[in-house]
Amino acid sequence: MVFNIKLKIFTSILGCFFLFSTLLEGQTYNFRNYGGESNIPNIFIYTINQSNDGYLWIGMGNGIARFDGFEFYKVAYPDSLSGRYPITNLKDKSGKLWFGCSDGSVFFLSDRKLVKVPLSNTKSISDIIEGPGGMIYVIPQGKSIFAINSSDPGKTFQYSLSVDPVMFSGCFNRSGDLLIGTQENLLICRIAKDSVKIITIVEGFDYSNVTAIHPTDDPSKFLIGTEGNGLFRLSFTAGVTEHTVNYDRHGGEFLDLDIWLWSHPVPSFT
Amino acid sequence: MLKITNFRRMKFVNSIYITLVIILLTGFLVSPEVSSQAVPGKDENIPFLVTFGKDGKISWGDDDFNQIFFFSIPKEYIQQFYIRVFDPDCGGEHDEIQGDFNTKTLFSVYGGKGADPEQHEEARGLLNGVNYKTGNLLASRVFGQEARYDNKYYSFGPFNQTEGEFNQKWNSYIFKVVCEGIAGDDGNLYRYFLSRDANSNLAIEGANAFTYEYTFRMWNDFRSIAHIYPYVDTGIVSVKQSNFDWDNDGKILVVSRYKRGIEVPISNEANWVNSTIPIEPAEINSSLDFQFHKRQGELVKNNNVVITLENQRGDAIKFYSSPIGGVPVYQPVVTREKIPARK
Repeated sequence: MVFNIKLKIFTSILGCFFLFSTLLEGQTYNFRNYGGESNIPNIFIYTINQSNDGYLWIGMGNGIARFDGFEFYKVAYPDSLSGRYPITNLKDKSGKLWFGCSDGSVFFLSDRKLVKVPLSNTKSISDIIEGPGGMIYVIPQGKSIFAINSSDPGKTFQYSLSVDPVMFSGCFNRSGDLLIGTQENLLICRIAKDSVKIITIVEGFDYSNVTAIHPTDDPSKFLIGTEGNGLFRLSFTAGVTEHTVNYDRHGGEFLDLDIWLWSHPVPSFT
Repeated sequence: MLKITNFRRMKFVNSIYITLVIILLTGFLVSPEVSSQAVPGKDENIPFLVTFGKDGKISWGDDDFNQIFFFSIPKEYIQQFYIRVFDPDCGGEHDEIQGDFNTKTLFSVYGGKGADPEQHEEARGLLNGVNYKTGNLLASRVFGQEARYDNKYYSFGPFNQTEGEFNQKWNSYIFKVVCEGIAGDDGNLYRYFLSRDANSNLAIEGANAFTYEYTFRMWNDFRSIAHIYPYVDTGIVSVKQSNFDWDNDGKILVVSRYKRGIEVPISNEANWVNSTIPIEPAEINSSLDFQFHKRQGELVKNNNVVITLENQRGDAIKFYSSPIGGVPVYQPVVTREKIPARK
């Protein structure tokens, strides 16, 4: 008798398990790969973003393409130069798309056409960020940082660094200082009249390749992505000095930059 | 009847065995692993490249604590590729310890404008005090003493060929790899492989690798002869060789399709020695074979050496990992003379 009850309980649990296991599938994701057979103009994809009218703008090994959900359309550069490829992009608060290229050139989209920004730069563009006052800041791999007036892109400004680090990433903090991720370390800089002054070199990032600096919901905290040295949380604490920096290391040994490209916006980090 | 069946079965098993052996041998012979894009190359018979930490002594066999190699990818190759570094860490197997392992080595891959040494002389790394880290930094990593990469490969990439700098003459894209000893004093011994795959060595047809200054480890073996293969381009009438820290270890012979083996002077401890070798018209557009024969008798162990070449105008000459035109073979000039018949 006892055995029968146990058997019934066992079979009931087993039945429930099988019955509800189908409900546990939850979310399913459908992926479609666009390769050479999809008439994609190039199979090397470096950067991607969506404009406010819904099109995807894709930076590829041989230029920029627009994707309408069905077809890819190659977008011509306004000049005849070849050999460049887009590396990074930004959609600013007004919805304008900006592209930074391997040869140091920067373009923005206007009526689905690329317009070149007049910059005297030949270094590959690592990052484009939006700064205070509606300015777009362009971070090349070395020497200088450029600012572009978003509403009048013909107006550009150049800020030189006293040293020549290989710069990978940038982000403004709430006090208006610029965090710059480099091959060797993380710099906290202040933009002066025509130069960038390094205020602090944050210890602990020796040759970590700081490839991403991301703001969080908490304006005093940033996520720092490195290549080969893990993920860090950087926090600014008001106190004895304006820039007391604490950082904790999180995550594994490797952080792929793609994670950062696709994780925007970043939720608060706990 | 039973004997006949057994005989047939044995014959069948034998034929399968032989077929398998042939397949395996064929696979081994055509395997890309033995193809040309290993650095040092297969024909060079050099065990390792070597770069010391910047606190090392030049008498240990590295004059500048960095090494620059260039990889050329043919325009026709449109797939992704990887630059693999074997044993990139400094510690464990292969590497040369000085006290404790404390060396950090930075490997950096450059492309874009500034990477091609034919268009940007400073990229060769031979001009003292001039920045050789030209071009766009595509990837980099520092290695210390890391067991996970000891005696194993680390792969940089994937790269797209157009990330390099295009060279019209060779119809190829050029990439530059810089290895620097940024800290410590140990010797990092490593090799490269240009591969189609991240996890195995699959050569790219038509690709090659070259350098202007070769710093490498000699074999700890009397019988092993190392080679390097500089290419003699049009217009070269003489070649000046400079070798460093050879420790008087044997001899250097220069062989070509015209030269049977010219011996050139070698250096001793921490000094440079140079000499000039005339080039004959028959040697133009072919490779020379610099052969490094170790000294017989007392074995010079762990000998690290440096060699560079320049032409009569002082322009540096490239060493190709895979000799252009193949390994040069001495071709004696044969003359014939008719002997008059006796009357």
